Amino acid sequence: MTTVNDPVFVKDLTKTYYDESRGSVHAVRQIGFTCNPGEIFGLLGANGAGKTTTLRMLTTILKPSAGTAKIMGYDVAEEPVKVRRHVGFYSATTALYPRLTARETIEFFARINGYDASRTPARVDELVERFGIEEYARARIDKLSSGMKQKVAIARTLAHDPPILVFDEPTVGLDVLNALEMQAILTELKAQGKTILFSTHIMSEAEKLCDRIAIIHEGRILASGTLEALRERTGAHYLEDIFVSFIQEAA
Amino acid sequence: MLNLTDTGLVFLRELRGALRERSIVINVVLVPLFMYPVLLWVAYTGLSFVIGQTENFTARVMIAGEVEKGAALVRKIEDADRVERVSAADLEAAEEAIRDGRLDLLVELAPWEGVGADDIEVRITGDSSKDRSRIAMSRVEDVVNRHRTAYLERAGRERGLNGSAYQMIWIERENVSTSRDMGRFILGMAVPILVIIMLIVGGMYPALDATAGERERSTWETTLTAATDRVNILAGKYLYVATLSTTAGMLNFLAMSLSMRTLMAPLLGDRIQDLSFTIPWSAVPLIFVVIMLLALFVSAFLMVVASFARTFKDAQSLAGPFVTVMILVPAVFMQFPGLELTTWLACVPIINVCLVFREAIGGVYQWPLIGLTLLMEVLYIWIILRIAAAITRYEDIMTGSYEGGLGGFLKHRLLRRNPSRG
Repeated sequence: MTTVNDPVFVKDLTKTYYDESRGSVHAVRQIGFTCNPGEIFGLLGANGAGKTTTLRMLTTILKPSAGTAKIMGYDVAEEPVKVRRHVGFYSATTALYPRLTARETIEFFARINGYDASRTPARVDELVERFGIEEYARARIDKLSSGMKQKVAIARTLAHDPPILVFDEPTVGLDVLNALEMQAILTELKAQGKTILFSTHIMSEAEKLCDRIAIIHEGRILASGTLEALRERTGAHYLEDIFVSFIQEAA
Repeated sequence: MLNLTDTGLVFLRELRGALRERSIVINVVLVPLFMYPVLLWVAYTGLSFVIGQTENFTARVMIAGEVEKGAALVRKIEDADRVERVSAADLEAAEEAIRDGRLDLLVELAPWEGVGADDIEVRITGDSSKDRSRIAMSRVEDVVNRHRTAYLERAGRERGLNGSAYQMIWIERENVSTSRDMGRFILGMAVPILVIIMLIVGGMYPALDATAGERERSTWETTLTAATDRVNILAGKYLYVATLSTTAGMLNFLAMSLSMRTLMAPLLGDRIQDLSFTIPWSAVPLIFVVIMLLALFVSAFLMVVASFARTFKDAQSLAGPFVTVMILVPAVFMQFPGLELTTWLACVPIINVCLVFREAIGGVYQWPLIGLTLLMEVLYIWIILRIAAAITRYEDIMTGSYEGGLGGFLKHRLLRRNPSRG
């Protein structure tokens, strides 16, 4: 049973935009799903399936063309600022301010996202310690390695301690060790009770981390549920086979 | 409704980053403080050297014809400063030599059927396309005119006539302007336009960096995830650009005001002693207001233009023509002789504040027109900010996927002529 009181509630969410060369493009078509408190919900799809557009709508970067999406009960179209206060958005494509230091970056996002000013320094210290970035916390971001930047980016996502975290393909471009560390962080955040919505095209990652998975293809959700439920529906064991099975069925 | 805390956070974040960027510090602080004064000093020193070289040459003048009849005049020409009498084979050869640049001037003396027995006609041949010949002509004409005036004065005195009687009209010249007035006139001609250039130079890099630069660095999306209204982000960035632009303008104004005497010294030589480059203290608050308004206008405009660019380079190409117009138009206008602030000119952006600026330096305050100017400038800034706020509502522009430019946006979206194409 899904309700609008779920941390993430999505119903008939649609995104259509106009492109000079392609005309009207339906990036997301009437998708619907919910996320339960403290679970990792994965959006699994190939490149261009509509994952990023969906997550951008949920984090209010893009406005939905139709449908409803609510984060902690706040409508993404009507109350975008309140939505952003309750969400931390991490994406491999969103960069950090190169001229600020790690501390300044975390502090800025804590403050602008409504974290209490008097508690912000303690919060920054906590995140700097948690992610082991003490050594380079006062160095400019553009002087850091990509692994260091990744840690700072996660810290800034968590700066205001949001209940919902959205990770858009967080391991893209990372080496194996950094990717594993990212997966460990997601598991740890889940253990802290955070609701995590995360997109990937890497099957093993989804299989390993997600409590529930939605398979998205050409802007539509073809199936969603636990891995077990998806296995039962298709008769396939591996997520890769399950994924292909649904794509073929849709075709 | 603007959230001042969030606006302040964005402003401080931008400012903090900017002060760590060498190119911004150079454009905002070092260039306005040092580059223009130093450049102008070098230019004026070079110019005075070139002028000195040109003015100090010795003109080669050939005198032909009734030399004996005009002996007194010939002597004066020969004795004139920086004039040397030379000879040529004949008149034709002399004209050829002038064309070749071997001779600067030919002076022919011929008898003239006048009242006096020693009346002569002076015919001067030169080449106006050559600096040396032109200057030689002016020197010889001076000698001839002085000779004639001396003759007329002497002849008039012999007949008991004073200057106005024998010349019909006698001109007495008197310059009532003080050394301070002249100094302010020079300051008013130079400083406003230089300050505009500095405002634009100081505001351009931050404006493009805060919009297109962010997009290019992929930090724009990061900024959009901040839990604040986009208008607060825009306001914080705008405040930051305007602050840097104002700072550049103020620093340049101070540098130019304090160094103008030194800068002009090579150009004016001893005449500099007669000039006083001081700006009335009463004008300073008005000048600061004018600089601030100019900075607010320029910053808003540059940010709106740059928000349609995807990269910093794109933004430079987009802003380039506008910047050229913003500098050239007032630069040309301010050179028009006798141009003063009028009701119509008070409505022309940039030029209006430039004129207020210039008049304030000269200690002239036309308060009704100053009021109108400030009002109009605020109105223009308000219009541009409304456009900027409208832009934040279009996610394709905000996310950088919009294909058009400012013109297309205004036409197809704001004015709704053909929204589908926008």
